[in-house]
Amino acid sequence: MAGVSDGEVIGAILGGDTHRYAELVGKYQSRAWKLAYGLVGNWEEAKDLSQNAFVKAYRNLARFRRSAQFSTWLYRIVVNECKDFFRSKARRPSLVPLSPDPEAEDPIQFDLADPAGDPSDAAADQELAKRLGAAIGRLAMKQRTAFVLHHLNGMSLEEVSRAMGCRVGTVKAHLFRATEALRRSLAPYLLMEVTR
Amino acid sequence: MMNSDSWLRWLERWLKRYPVQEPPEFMRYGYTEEVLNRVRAAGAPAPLYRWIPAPKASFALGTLMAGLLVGLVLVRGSGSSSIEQEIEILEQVDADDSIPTGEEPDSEEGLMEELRESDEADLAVS
Repeated sequence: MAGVSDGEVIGAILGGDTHRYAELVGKYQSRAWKLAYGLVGNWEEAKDLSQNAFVKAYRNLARFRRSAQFSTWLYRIVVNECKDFFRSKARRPSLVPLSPDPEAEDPIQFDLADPAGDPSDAAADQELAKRLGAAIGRLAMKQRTAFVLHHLNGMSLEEVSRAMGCRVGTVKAHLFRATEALRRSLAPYLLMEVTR
Repeated sequence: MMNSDSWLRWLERWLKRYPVQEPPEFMRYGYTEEVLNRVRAAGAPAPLYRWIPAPKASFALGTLMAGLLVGLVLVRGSGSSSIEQEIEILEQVDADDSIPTGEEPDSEEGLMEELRESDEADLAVS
């Protein structure tokens, strides 16, 4: 439904047109789901968590300040759901020990289909993607959240700061630490990458 | 090893070329419907400031409690003063030797004397 703002849809829902929540779910489900996937590394769990976030957002829709963006508010709820998930599972990413086998955890999967790419690079890219996905999974929760929101979901620093509930400077610090940790983790593979 | 800046540029380029996968197609089916079913089960959105009626009730209750408290203080205050007055009278009574204390006579001799006076008083009346 082009031209209708999220604020208008929310106003209609609060006015009793509750079925219109489908519009917001349809609009943001993919991004919310991908965000949760970036944090937990499993599509099934990410689906549950993002759906929980939508239900919580709906229940608390009256609290949403319409001067803010619904998407940012929703992403914040998704992030909190993922934090609760890790708490309940006592499986904090920051405490996961380095594993020699990245597949032992839930590494994030990248879309390696690149028709224009050199087939000879495919194996190396595949290996690097596996290592990168696992290394992201080993980042501390805040670093991982900032990295996923900014680098994988394309959110601006300001949006990330609102979604994480911290200052832009703090987001930059988390991002710097995250990328440095990834650089260290992937150093052996990066050497191959820059020389090919 | 790449320095921080070149690593970041390389990483951003790589992630642009190979973004995170999209959710699997077979899992996407029914996503919105599942959310809506759960939303319907949860009922209407929680109204904002559900606590609005509460302050009215709290205010009324608070006013009532304050009134009761003030009343209690006044009653207890007047009670205190009556007790003080009573203590004051008792102290005066204790201090006055002419007023009988009602205490038991110290000795059998005293008791006999008291009974004799009582008999004489009764005879005089009759």
